[in-house]
Amino acid sequence: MKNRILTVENFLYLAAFVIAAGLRFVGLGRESLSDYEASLALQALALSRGDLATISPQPFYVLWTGFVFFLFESSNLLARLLPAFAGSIMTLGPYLYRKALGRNSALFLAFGLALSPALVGASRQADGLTFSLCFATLATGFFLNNSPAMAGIMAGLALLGGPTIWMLLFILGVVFLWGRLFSPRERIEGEPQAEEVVSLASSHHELPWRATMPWVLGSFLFAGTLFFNQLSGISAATSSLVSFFGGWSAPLKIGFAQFVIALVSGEALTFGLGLWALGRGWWYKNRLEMLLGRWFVVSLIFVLVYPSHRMIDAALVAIPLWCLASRQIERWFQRLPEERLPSFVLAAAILALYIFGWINIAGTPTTQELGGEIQLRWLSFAGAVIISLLMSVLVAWGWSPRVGGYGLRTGILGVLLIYLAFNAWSATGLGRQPAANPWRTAPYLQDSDLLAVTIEQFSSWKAMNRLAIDLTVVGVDSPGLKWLLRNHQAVQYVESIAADQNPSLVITPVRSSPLSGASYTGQDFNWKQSPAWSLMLPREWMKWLFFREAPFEREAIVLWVRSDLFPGVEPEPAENKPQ
Amino acid sequence: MIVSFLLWYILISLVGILALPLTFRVFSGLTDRGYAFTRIFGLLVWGYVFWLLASLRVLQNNQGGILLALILVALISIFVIRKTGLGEITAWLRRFRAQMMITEVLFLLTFAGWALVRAADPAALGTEKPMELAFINAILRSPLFPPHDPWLSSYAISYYYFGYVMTAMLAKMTAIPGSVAFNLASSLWFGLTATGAYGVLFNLLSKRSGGEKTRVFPVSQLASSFWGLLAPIFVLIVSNLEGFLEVLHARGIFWQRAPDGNLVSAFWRWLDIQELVRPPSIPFGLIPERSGGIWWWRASRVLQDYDLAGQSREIIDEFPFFSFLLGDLHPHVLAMPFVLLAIGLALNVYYTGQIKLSPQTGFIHAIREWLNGRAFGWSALEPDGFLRTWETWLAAFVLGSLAFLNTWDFPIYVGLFCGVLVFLRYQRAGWSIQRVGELLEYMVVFIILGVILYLPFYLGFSSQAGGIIPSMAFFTRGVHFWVMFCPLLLPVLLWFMWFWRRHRREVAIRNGLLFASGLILGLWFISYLMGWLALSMPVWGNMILMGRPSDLLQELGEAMIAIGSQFYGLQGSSDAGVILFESLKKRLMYPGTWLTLFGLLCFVWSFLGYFRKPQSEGEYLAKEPWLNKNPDAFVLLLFLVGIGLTLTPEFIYLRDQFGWRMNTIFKFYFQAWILWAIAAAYASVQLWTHLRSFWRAGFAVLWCLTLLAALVYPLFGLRMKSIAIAAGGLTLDGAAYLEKYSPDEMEAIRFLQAAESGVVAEAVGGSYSSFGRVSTLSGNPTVLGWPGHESQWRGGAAEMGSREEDIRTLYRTADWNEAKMILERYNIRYVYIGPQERSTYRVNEVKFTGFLQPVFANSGVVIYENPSALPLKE
Repeated sequence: MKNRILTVENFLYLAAFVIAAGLRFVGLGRESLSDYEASLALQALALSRGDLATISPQPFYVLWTGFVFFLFESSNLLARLLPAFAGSIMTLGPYLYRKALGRNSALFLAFGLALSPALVGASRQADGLTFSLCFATLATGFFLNNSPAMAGIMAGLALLGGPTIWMLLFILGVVFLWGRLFSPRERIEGEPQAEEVVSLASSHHELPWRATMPWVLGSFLFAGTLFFNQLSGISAATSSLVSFFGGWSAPLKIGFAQFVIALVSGEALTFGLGLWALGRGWWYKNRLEMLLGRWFVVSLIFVLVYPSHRMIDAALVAIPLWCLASRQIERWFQRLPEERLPSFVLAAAILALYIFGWINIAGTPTTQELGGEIQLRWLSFAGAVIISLLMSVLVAWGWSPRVGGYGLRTGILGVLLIYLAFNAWSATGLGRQPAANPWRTAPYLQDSDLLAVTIEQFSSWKAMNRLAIDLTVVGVDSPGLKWLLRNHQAVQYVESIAADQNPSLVITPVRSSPLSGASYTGQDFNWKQSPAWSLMLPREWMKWLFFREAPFEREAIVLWVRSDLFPGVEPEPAENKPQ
Repeated sequence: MIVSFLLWYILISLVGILALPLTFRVFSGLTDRGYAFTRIFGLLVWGYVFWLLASLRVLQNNQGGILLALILVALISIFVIRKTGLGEITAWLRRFRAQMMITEVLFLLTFAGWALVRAADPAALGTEKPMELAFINAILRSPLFPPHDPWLSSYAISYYYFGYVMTAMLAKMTAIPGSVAFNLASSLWFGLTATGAYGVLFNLLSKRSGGEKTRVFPVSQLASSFWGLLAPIFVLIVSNLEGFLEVLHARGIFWQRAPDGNLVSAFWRWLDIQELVRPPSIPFGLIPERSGGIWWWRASRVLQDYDLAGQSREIIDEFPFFSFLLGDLHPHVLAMPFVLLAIGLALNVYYTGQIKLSPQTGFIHAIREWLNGRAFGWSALEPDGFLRTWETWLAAFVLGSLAFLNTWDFPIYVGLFCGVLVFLRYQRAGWSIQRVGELLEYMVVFIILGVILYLPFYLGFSSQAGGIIPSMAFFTRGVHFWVMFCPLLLPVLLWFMWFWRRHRREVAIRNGLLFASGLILGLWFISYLMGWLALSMPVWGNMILMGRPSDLLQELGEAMIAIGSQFYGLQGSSDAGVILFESLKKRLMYPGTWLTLFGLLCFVWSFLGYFRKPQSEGEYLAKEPWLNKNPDAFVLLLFLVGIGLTLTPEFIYLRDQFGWRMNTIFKFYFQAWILWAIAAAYASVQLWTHLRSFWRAGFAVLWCLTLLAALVYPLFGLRMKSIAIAAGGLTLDGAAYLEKYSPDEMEAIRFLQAAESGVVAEAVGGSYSSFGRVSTLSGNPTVLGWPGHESQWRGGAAEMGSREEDIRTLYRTADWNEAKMILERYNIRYVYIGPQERSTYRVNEVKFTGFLQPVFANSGVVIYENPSALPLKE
């Protein structure tokens, strides 16, 4: 039999990859790096420049982004390139799980991973989380497909991803223990069992542990030291384990409500389908779905209670949830009804009704409470729901319950898909309110571009070179600012400024000036901007859910320019300077 | 406090568990398979892996790097388990359960007990504690290895700092501040020493000779476990008799009232221990006390050297209990568990003969062959693959660590280890002068291997040792020697007598007499020959200078005159004849020490001869059960090395910054104490288990009385600490005193601890003071800490240059440009102005307020930041 590469299935995987890459790469370098991202990117930059730096517990990102900077140059795009690439590649991972999950489920999963807002948000940030998840997914896939070399290489790389890999291993460890201690012994006749499905994954009875380990070690050593150029990389890998454990004693970073709302709204489709599959799996004692269910529950509890959690850690929940959801989608659509036209018409009608309801609901946050308009909007939404249900019942009565149910499911799925697409796009941070993107690890740096341009203009004016002006940053501890000014030749970062120093430009926090009595003129720039999550009211949450609009907390910095740099001003006489 | 303690306990126990498979394999000759050494060995391997890889820039000095080193240790253990078999280890653990429990309880009790003692008096203040804390904090703060010198910015530590690396490693891993780790380390090392000493004695006592049924001791293995507890008591608790003398002194015993009403005492004058020659306070009491002084300090200064002009020189004669009571985390304390590990390793080699002993060892043979015109063969250097066995390298690894922990111990324990190897050859091949050659040869090999394994340390280390000089005027008086070592010597001496009585027919005391006489006369001769050379140096130097010499010769001549003059000055006379004659006369007038050592040496050497290869069938049959790896011979070897350590400084000593015997006696006597303490514990068990009836009763009385006298010091020492407990406020934080007495300064130091690293300018002053406190507690390097100590560590003041004067200028000058120049020269980032700076210098602060911004200020301290300082190089 001829082995065809360009099959419909392969084409669809390619399509999933293209969608994933599109969502991850579009406008990737437009935004300046946040403080969190910059702290990692600056290490990579230092490495590329040959400056010895202590590598933080994300060795893969730092080493290999450093290598990218060495080959090309540092930029926002290149700083985020590898995570985005890993996030895109990850969508191909389900291909390796076709035997374990089923062909269609795996394909749906690939699209799910491509569209998952949590994964999109994580992949577009300079961070090691995506590497851990991507390489761990691939490693397990190759391992189950009896490819010890590739499995080992991927596992070695996954270990370099950072604390996320330890989170994942911790979660899987708990899942394993749970399974061991409480797994049901009885089975329901006729229901496919997990072990049967999993055993299909590998044609060999014994899993290739022994053959895999040398590859794990090899890739860990080679990639973790950048081919023995930066030996301390492997030390940084174990630092990630320390960082993971240290995370348990850190203060809680993100509020519970913020986390749950962002996760549930972002992954609404997945939550609906996933929970359905989980309930069904539990009811029928389907071991695969119970396993995925345990994984989902443990992941969810973990990301909620782990004090150092970040929003993008929701990606850990998204994966098992998407696995469950994809199983459910496959189950729903594995057999299409005979009368398809009424089904699709019903689905289209339901979709239109829900869009109508949605529009009504979306308008509530901006509507005045007087006059009963809000109640009217809610009634419209309820009406849409009731009508859709009635239509489904009628179709079920007139044609068949199968046609009615199919139409209803398709319609709802369509609505949720649209919302998923909206969330996925908003996770790119390219919308009108990039600061309101919930998947950010650190606040958005609002006026960074404006600041950079202003400084370069002054530099060109004074030093005939856009990067040569002497600039002192006083009391601003912002890696994002350091990243922004990384190519400037005369930048100094200090806690205070000496009286006999009169740099041309000074950047300070908003409530301080460079020197009392010195002749400087200042302009403030909005620097950090993030939604005031903890202060938001229900109406504001609604607004955020539909429009990604929120009240913001802002932090400004001031760019001080020595007055003599302005056209027409004479330099200050020496005797006026403080002694 | 309890959480910190528990964290350390859990961590060190985990390290012990990880090292268990290693010790199980390495110490295959010991009854406990090295169980008592698991924590010590684990800590050593872990520390080495971390330090070496951090020095090679493979690991980072952070929790991740430390954890990775621990993972590597675990991997080595897994590898060893695969080789050995987990079943074998677990089966052995089940069999050894009772002894294991005793070891564990001993460790927990000693660790926790000493933590309680430290908690009563935790301040890292006074003596050399600040220096030690400064090292720990500097290592914690250094991003890369070698760690920065906290008291000489832009230089790396030049000291044997391995113990501080281990402490910092434990502190960083458990996220505990250096000031707490300081006291926890003291307690941990106490516990490790106790288990190490216990392990050595237990394995000596539980040795079965000639099969399972033939015991060297008439006691069961479990009983051996309990007898083994004598070793930690002798090593760690038993003290010299100075404490007992203090009680007698305080009670007014041997004091009479003179007609003028003053108290006088011929006894105390004859005894000549400083402060005890003065009359006691009235009314007399039982509790030692010293108005305006510290009574317990004197026990570490029993010995007294005088030059020929009668000028006294301070001599340090610390013993373990004093060192722990003092609380200094000095290298000799930090090395103690590892010294016991080295002894355990030597015992293991003695029992197993693991290291291959070729009939003709390499170097001398190869050189001889080469001199005879034959080709130089590398294989001749290590016949039988001596260098290719892991046992050789393991021994080099353990012994080599001692150089990094406390350099003085390295040659001592290489000597002991090689002595065991040569003794095994002696047992096999009998005595000849070739054995001496072999000893030297083995020592050279292990020293070279030890240096190779710890090479990064040597690359950054400059020793203060300035060669060997003869001890002409200085020697130890017999009475001082006995006050110092009586509690250890007495049981051993009684054992010797018992041994002689038992085996007098087989023991050739004549050999011992000849050897002891030859050795002491030889040392005497060498000492006087070196003395004569040193005394004649000015003459030779002048002769060189008189003959229109070249520049080189001119320098040589001047150096000879300088060295000679220094030597004259040291002896307290300018007349060579007087020096030689008076030295001889004084030694003959006070022969106590060398006569004691002569006698002991005589015994030991004769007894060792008893363990030689039997010469005839009859002799073999008579002695066979005892000859086979008899622990007596090993204990005799330990004692012999102790004799070497106490005898050598009677004739020659190591020249250092001070010039006299202070450090040589300190370091040599301390090790002699450890070796003799084990021997004394062993001798005690021998006598307790073998003597019967009248002899047993007599021994019991004598032994108990001596031990009671030796326990007076710890009793009153601990009482003093209990007063502190009663005063309240138990804490392990060595910096808590600053919080209490100078909260402003503590607040400032906390700021610096949290701020970015940078060179700190602070007041410079004398040793053993509070100067250097900012760098000590913050871990940031300062321009100059204690100049005297820096000079000792680096063997001179060249690196310090004009730093002390520059810091004075920095604080006092009114000229900003001058101050700025100093700030730039030393890359000073933080200028610290606190009470010490204000009282030391007349600080001119205007220039700082005019040109620098204060980054920290409270009512007592201002810290200015120099923005142009470069960040510390990572």
